[in-house]
Amino acid sequence: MRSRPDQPVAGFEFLDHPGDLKLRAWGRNLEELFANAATGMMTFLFGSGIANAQPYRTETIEIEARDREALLVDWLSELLYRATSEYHAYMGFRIHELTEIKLRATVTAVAAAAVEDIKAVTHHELSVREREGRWEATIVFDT
Amino acid sequence: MRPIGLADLQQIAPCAWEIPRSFRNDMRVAARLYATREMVEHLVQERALEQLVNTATLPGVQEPALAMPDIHQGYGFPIGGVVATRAADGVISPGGVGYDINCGVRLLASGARFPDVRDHLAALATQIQRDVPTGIGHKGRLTLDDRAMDDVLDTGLRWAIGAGYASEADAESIEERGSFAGASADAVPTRARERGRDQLGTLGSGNHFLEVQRVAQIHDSARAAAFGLFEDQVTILIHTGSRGLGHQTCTEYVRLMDQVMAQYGITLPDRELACSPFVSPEGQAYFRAMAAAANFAWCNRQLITHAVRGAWRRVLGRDEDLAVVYDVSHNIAKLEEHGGIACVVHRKGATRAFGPGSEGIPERYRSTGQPVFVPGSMGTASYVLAGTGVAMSETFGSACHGAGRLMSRHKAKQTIDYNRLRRELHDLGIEVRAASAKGLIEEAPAAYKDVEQVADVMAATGVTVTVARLVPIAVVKG
Repeated sequence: MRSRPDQPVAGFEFLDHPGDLKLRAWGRNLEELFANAATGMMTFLFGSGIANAQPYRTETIEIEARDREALLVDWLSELLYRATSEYHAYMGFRIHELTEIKLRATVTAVAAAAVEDIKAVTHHELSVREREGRWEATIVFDT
Repeated sequence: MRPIGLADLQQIAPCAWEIPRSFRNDMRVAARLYATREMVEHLVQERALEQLVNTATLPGVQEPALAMPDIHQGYGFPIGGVVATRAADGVISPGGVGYDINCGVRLLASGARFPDVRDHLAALATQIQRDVPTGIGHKGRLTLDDRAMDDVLDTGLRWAIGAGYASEADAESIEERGSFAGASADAVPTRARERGRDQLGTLGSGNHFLEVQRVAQIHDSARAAAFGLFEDQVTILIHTGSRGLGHQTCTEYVRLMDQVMAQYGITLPDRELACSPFVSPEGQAYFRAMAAAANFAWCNRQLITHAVRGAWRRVLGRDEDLAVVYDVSHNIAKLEEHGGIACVVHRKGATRAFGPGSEGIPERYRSTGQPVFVPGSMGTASYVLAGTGVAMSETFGSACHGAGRLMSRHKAKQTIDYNRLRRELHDLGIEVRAASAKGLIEEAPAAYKDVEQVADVMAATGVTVTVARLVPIAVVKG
């Protein structure tokens, strides 16, 4: 299990999975974990250059789900839907409210062209857990 | 959960293995795998067999839960699996179909032989790449308004015929005649429609491709003749699915099933198996939405067919319509009767392989069994097989769908050299048109199992008869 050499910042890494993409993200708290998971997904989709992409719009996202795991999948699915249907990327994830079942955030749309495709965010073997003072999750994507 | 070792598998035939119901106490039926010993030895090192066992826990699952020789690790369900559930009291699972609803393969047959085409091959590959949008984020030539989208989703090929992209003969050569009974545009989420609006007629990226091929070998001349195939003939294979529309449909129904599952008293070893009773409102809504997404995929392959026919006429100056040999789906759930029981047959990375005499296959294939297409990885052979009576009695009328991935995309990028790969393909006489270097590397032959072995296992079990071997002469990739 090695991280990709082009990985820009700590907070997420890509793991080996035979068919698809596996992303591990972490943070000092749940908010940071959610933001890092989103950054990881966007970095995969748009390449590491995305960190310097031109911002042009702020959008609000509000999600409710049945538990923390479903909330993470729905958060990433929401961003994936917006990015693929609008043909742009998102960065600058600011999470204002995050409970077990509810998330409210503002995100910044940035101009970028996708270099990879993700079909969907899966619930496969998903767990969001706290370990030794840091939050961590592993997400499998269908690519 | 304890890992599966070689000792947990009982060999029941030279290429068939069973994991008994006693292996895990949540299994409702045994799991069966078709593979060589060498394949099994590789499989026990990954999670694919554990995923197969998980599918044997679904409510209403029929004996046995199946894996084809191209099985590999997926998410939730393994890729290369067949799970039949009782329609009356069993479940339907969006994950058992996959995100790319009705991903499938269509084979077109020309009247030309390889020498007729050889000198025009580069021009043909270039023209096809120009006429068929490929790669990430490439829009199609058509943007569907709400009414056209409704027609595509509700009627599939009927829309394509009305719009001048297809003929009645084309519809005759597609599963369900390209128009799935029960499809309903109303069941398709709004966001799925949005994601698919400008994607009809696009190939996409990932493992999707379009290949010009030469019939290298005929293994069964009677069936080949019935399929319209002959030695040295030029054929074209199209591999793609329902694009973003299918992905979003599956995403939203997995979420719905995940929410309602507990109400139906269903507990599962993996949330990605999320399901609900087939007869429940959620189960029925998913089935109608999946059927509509399948119609979208058939129209997608139809628009690509239309573009390829145009490119063929333009470059070769031949006044012929490339004939559709057949169009098979390898990510779908079908309502079928097996052993006198109405079943929901989930095929995820598996192809229907109905044998001779089956209802639901074109009249002209009733005596041969339906054609099954097994595309190899880029640069290697593909196979045309035919379904048999053994498939009807043993595998819910199903067979394999491809070579099966061996190496992760990530690993392929680390170990395969782009220039060397291009040179190797060139040396094999294959014209390559790829939208990106990465796309080419990820699908390199070394990243896949040997498709010949997969086809051989199917033949050894009697599930299919090998009809023809096709080799690529040009590849267009996203």
